Amino acid sequence: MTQDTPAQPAPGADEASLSEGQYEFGGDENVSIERAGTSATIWAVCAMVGAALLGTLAYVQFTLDNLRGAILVLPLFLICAVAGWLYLGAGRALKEVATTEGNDIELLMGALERLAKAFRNEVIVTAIAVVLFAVLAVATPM
Amino acid sequence: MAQQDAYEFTSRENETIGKAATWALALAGASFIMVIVHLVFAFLGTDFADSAFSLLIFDLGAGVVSASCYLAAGVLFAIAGRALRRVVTTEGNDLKHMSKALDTLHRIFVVRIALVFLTVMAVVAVIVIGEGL
Repeated sequence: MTQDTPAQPAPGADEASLSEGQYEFGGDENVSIERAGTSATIWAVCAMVGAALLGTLAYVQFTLDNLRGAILVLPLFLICAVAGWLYLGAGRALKEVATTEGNDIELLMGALERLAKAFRNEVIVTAIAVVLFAVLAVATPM
Repeated sequence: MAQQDAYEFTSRENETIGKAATWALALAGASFIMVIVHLVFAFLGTDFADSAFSLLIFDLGAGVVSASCYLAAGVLFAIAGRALRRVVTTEGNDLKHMSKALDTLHRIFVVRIALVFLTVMAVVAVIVIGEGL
């Protein structure tokens, strides 16, 4: 069943913490949100470092006249670079939910939008990478 | 009767959450495909006839470890996607489902970070084995 009514306080809810469309997350909820934000940021940094290393590897392969090697590394570079950039934004947005007061729901929705965008781009880039790998494996035998 | 959450997401917020749920489930599917890709590459890409035993174990091991990490990420993405979907389709426990989804997302990122460290260790192992041969 889809919820079609505006935000309503549930029976027994703390009236002081609620207003029209507003909610301030409690301690446990903030811990979950901040933890997800921190790990998303760390993952984003790992992905960006990976992208830098893969980009360097692709360049080295290119200078060694190994075009096949360079092209094989490029999809991985693309996955890491795109994922790193998008998850960095999502991680920051999630941490902002936990560290600020007053617009928690709005900030959480912003973070979820960024996450959805990151997931969507990851699905698309993964599909492109799989196809590219398959094409390269068939077209350029060792 | 179980106590209900203090906040119920609006239809507009549910739309955003639903979108995140859909793409999380799609990413779970993509992760499962990557499991197959890694296993295929591990078995087809290994030269069973001419490789040294240690390299053979390493080639297969790297593929199986990568596939396992993708499998774990796929399962966790499916759990996170389902929790987000439950936020949209149910009433009364929105915040509980949202917390579960966020905790699962945290686990996904931890698995991925672990995969990065395993990859770095594998590269170091390749260099050490290469030097030793």
